[in-house]
Amino acid sequence: MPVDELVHAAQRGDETAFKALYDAVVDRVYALSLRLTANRTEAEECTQDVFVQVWRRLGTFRGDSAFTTWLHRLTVNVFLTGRRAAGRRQARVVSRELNDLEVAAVPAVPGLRLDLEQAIAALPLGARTVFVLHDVEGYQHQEIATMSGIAEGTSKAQLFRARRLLRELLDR
Amino acid sequence: MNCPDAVERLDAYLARTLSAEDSAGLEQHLLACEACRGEFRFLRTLRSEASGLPSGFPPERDLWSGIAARLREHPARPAPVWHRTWFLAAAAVVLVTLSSVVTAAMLARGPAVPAGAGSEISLTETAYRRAADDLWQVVQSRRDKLAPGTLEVIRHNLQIIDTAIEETEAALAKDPGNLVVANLLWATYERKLDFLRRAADDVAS
Repeated sequence: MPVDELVHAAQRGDETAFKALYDAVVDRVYALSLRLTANRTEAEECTQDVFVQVWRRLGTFRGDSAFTTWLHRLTVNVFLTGRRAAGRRQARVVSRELNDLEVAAVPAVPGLRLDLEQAIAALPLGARTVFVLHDVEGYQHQEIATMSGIAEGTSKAQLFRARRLLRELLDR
Repeated sequence: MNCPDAVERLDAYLARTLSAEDSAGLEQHLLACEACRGEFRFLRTLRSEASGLPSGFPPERDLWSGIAARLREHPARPAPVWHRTWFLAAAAVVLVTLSSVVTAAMLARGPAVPAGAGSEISLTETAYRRAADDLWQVVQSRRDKLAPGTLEVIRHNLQIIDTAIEETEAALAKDPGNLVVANLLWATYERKLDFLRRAADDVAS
């Protein structure tokens, strides 16, 4: 069944259709979550949170944009909300240096551009977030600034930093 | 055009959104500057590679079972109407009643609050819910030590906060990029945890 029909069925409370919808799009949500978090456990939790939110908010999806666009935006929002909360409580310090690669976070999927994926995972949180949103997902700086609660100039600076770090990493 | 100006314009040039005049200036600079040509080549390759990364890959373990369990807690329904005024009023009620309820609550000593419960939520809503559940269990386990009616007062205030959370989530669903609402949502999450944490601390002390 096409995604749009699954969405409509799930909006009527059809849990079977929602499971089918999950099966159809979970790979996208997980990939985005993993790139943003660079941590498998956090990506799994983020993915689960996203689908719970989808279930609860599906009634508000009116089809003004494509479902996958809405889903990506929701995923980013769930990640950013968690990131802000973590930062506010200083529950942990997320600061990676260039020599502190977390390559284990990225699965060995045949055909995956491992070098770039691993280099993205090694970026500091702020730089990684902006790079993934801008260069991978295609958001504009203005959108990133609005979603992240940062100045547009900060978004540009983080992107510049991310690219500089990636160049150093990939040139190694 | 100098090098910083050239580098700043590379994105727009690649996206073909640079004006004809600026494009000409940039091309002239690139012809003369090896360093910026290298930067241009790298950026072109990087953007191409980044946009071509796989759009999806499967999680390595089953995530659905955990999701399905949570769906039962939250039946699908049409989004509630967002009454901002009502929410602000409810939030005010919570703030006013918070300290008095906790002060009045629970005097007897009881089990210690689980280590970390509500004090360190890692990253996600999952962790928030886990912490809230842990703290609520502590309060529940000591309900026989509470003054008559206290548990009901606590439960009533939690309902107010939970309703506020639902309303805020609904508002965020309508406008996912709204930072003000997003911050309000997390502030409400934290308010609930703080309320539970203080209640749990009191029953355990």
